[in-house]
Amino acid sequence: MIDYQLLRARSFNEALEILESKKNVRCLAGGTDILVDLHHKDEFFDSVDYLLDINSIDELKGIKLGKKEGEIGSLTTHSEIIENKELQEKLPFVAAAAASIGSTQIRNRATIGGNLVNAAACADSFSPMIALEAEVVLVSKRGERRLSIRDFIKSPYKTALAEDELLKKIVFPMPQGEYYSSYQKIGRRKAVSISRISLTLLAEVKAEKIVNIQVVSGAATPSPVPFEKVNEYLSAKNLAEVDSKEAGRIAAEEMVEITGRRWSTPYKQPALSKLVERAVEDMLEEAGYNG
Amino acid sequence: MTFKHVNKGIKRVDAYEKVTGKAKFGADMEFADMLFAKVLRSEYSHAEIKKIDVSEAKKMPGVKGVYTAFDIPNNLFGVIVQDQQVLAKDKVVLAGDGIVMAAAESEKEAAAALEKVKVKYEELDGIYDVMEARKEGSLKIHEDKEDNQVIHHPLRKGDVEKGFAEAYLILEREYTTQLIEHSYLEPEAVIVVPNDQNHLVSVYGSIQNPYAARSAVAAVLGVELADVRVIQNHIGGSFGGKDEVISAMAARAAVMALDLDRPVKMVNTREESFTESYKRHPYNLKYKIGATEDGKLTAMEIEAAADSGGYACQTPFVTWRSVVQATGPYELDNVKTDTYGYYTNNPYTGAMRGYGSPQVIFAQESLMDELAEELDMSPVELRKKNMYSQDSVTASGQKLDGHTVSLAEVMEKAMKEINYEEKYKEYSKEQFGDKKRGIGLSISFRGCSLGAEAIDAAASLIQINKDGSAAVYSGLAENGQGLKTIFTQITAEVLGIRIEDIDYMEVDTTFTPDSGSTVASRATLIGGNAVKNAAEKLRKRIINFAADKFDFSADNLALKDGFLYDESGNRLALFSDLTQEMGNTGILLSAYGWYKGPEISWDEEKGCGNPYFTYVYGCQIAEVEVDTGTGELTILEMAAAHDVGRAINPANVKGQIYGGVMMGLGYGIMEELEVEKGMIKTKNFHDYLIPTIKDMPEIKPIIVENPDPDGPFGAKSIGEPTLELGSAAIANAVAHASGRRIRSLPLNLERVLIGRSLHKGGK
Amino acid sequence: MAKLDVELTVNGEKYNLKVGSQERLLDTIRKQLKLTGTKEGCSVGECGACTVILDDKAVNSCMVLTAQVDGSQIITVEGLESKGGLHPLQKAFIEKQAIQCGFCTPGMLMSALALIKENPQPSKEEIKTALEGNLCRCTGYQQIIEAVEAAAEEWGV
Repeated sequence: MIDYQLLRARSFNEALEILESKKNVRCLAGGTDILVDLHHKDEFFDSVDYLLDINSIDELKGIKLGKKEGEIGSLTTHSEIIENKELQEKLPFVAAAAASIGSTQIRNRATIGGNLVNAAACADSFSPMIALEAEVVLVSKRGERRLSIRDFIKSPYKTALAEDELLKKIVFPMPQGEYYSSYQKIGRRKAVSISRISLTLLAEVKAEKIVNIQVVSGAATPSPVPFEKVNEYLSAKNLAEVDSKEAGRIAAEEMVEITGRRWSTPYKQPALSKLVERAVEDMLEEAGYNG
Repeated sequence: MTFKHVNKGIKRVDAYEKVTGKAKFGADMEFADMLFAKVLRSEYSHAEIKKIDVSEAKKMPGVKGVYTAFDIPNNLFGVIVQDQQVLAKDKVVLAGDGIVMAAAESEKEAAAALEKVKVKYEELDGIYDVMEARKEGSLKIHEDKEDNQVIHHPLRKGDVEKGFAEAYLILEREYTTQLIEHSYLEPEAVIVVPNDQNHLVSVYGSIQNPYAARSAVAAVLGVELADVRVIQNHIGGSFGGKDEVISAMAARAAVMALDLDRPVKMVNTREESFTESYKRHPYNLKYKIGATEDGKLTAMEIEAAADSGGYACQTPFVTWRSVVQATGPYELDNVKTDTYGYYTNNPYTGAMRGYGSPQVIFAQESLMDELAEELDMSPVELRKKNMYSQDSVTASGQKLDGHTVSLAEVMEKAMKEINYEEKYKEYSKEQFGDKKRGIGLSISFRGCSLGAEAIDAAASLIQINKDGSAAVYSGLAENGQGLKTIFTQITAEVLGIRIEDIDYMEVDTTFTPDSGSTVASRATLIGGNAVKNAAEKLRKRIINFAADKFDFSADNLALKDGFLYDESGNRLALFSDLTQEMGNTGILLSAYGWYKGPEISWDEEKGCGNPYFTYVYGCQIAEVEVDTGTGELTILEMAAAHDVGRAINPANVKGQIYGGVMMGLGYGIMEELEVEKGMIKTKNFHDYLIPTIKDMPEIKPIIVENPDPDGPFGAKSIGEPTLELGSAAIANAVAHASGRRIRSLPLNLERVLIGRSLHKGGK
Repeated sequence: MAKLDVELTVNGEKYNLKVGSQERLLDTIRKQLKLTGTKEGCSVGECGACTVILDDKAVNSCMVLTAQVDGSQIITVEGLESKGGLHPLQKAFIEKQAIQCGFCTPGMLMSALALIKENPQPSKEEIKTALEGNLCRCTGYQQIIEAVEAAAEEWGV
């Protein structure tokens, strides 16, 4: 039997006080994951005495993109991310990932913070954030700390968020100079589908040389991770030397190393390889190569 | 012929209620003092029930009653074979079997009570593969049956051995189709009110076939049909799906409502709906086909095995339709078909839009393309050489006369609309890059209405009020398809009155005559004729009255636009004045209509006869893009040409085509109910995917009209033909694009990319 | 568990309600306010039958706890028709035969309304995006798109 009390925080500070003073509190943002669990009478609720609604906390909302650093408040909805013109222009892959999540109704409610805290393997917000080498800002009465997204997710549905902490915002260095990005997703239908595989590529290029590269999986691995070997292969390479097929092959191999051979491997291996190949080709094409 | 009301895109008569939220569906209804009930379903797909302990459940707050099979007067029901349990007694044969039900003051309390029920099971080995079920000596699912076979329909024509001997080329192929869910948007709902208005029980809810539900409830309670009243509400889609599952639900609610003497409401969650409802039959299909070098078919041998799941349900009839359509619309002298249905411990299967045809069409229309390729012939040329034309004789020996055999016409029109020839040529050339395009087609003939399944008759009742307004009743049910509008149009046309003057009444089994089930795309054809019959009786009565009154010959009078006209077009009287006067004179202004389909015949032993009195013809063409790098499949465009005899409401026919094409697309490329040892793994719309608006291709509907002598105003059928063709057309287009022939549905990412499906736990 | 006070404005009318901690906006609308035009189809935010407009945005009312939206403005399908008659969207749905069983219709209308209010001249692709969370098993969507296009033309600015 599910039995919790709903609490409504009217300010950031009140939320932190509640988190500090009460046990077994879970924050309620957009609610699009928690209400599914509620319908399924999920065991998630066994350890919940309070749901703390944080929706009216303005400090948790909004997008700020500076020259050096950008931040997205944890309560920012996917719709707000998509509709933000500046973000669309500077971080199109973040907008593309947000647009691929759920439906309009879901995107109007679901938040980036909620997506990260829920930490589903197929959560589409992760790979762009990892590519940006983003950090989460976690706040409690004890103070504030920053963790890289990679350290934040421990395993599927498990994060490093402490009982009394609130995810305030996500911060990341803005890509500098000439950069290229792509976000791709394969689902079982054209809309409202869970990712079979998704992929983010973000590359900074200087004088026709890749100076910074992040190729990050989503849904292909238990938790989204950068493909270290692909990154290594592409890193510091002149665009002219890049072989997109080779990059794809390396990525697929690396995926199998991470996951082991699973029932889905015969499909995911060639498909992921193709996504990486396309991402790299797009980068080359945009940069004036290959085209 | 020109019409005033039929053959026109008249707006739906139920549209206003539906756009304002006023339309009440089952779950929207409330009755004073109403209780809510829930059902506990099995944890196993095959098990003996050793003990059921409901003592704790009975003590739970708000609980009014907890029931098992022992509380049910007659626990077995079934339309064809009485093997379905209202609640499982000693044994469960599938995972959807209910075991205990509880009624309480709230839905939550009923559910909480069921959590306290303790059932002791002894799990049994089960059969989850139809090919396993048919093996001699395999485990028997129903003790009282000889084996697991539900049905076997043979068909023999000519001599297949001789036919194959004459063949230049023989092709043998196997195809499989999957288990799918109707996915009506409205989960099932019923409310039973006890001792209501002189009935023992009144049943409300999302009921596709009110008379079938009435029979089931009466049988389970052991009472007369007259004791049970079923009133249909707005129903949120059915597609064949809200029949037996609703009967069981209504019977359960009735048992509780009578015992507690309070109304009982049961509404399924989506998960409960997926768990308990019956599905579309998966088929294993073996085809062997022979052809001469120039592409003339010489013989076809087919063995089809359908998975019936734990109960027989509609399997005997579903597989029978497969028999008739299995060879496709092709002339063949030598045919041997064996169609079987078997019990397994999978979810049970029953009626779903198409009813045994989508499976065989997928196989046989894929096979035609495979054969064409082997013969180095175009798919169109091979079909044209063999397909039915006027007076062709079918596999069962029926001569196709008395109606227009329009295969050539539907095919030609669909090809023209989508620019088939040009695209076929273009996409047959070598294509560069990962994304490859292709185009594929499929054609079918389909028997209209029930055929030799059952007596094919329907009734109607029209009552004209003194003021000239009218009420129309039919025993067939509006399931969303637009029947109310069609029957209203027919009434208005015959009586020469306005659509607005007609009230369409809900089905109420006490007041509307039993017309059988609203299935088999029979409503317009059979029900429409019945409505026309009643309206014609009344028209005649009114005209005769007017002829007397004005001293005209009845032949020279007409009813139109609410007036009586003479032959030169002079208005003689208002329709309402005539009805007023007739009413005041004591002339009956009501009439029953009745229509029984023309004679048909069927010899079940040999599989021959004239199984249907008329047929419809259709062609669908799909243009696709295959991403050979990722397996993603995009359906770009589909043309769908269907001969409907006459479109009573063309806008409505288009709606049927769009909807059927999309349902066929879902069947073809994405839908599959995952089942593991009989337990359903995909129970809601996040993991059982149906097409969204973004999956929609450009659809080109083409209405072909060759009026049928037996149809009302020439109308035949459209509901089911629209969905039976898509999967084969798509599979053919995918093969054309990528060179990969996929012989199992659905054409998902894995099959398109690597040629096989992958499952969790599989290797 | 203590009930929570909530003030909602639904279809222009103000309500002061007491709601439970687990009460979804859908339950409040259907059970407390008896506005049964909003439908429950899946309870997990996948089908869109329960779509309402919450502070100008289309949302699945099964995915919102009522206590979360204290002070909000809500529009349901019952709020479309006015004394002046049917809303242009409703008229267009009737005119274009965009209805079959009608179970998805209220949700479709709400998603379409939210779209046109924000984007009076939507492209076909924008219409599809706005309605991608509304499943329909009957119509194949085509006539629904035509209806939204027609309504936007008639009523959009």
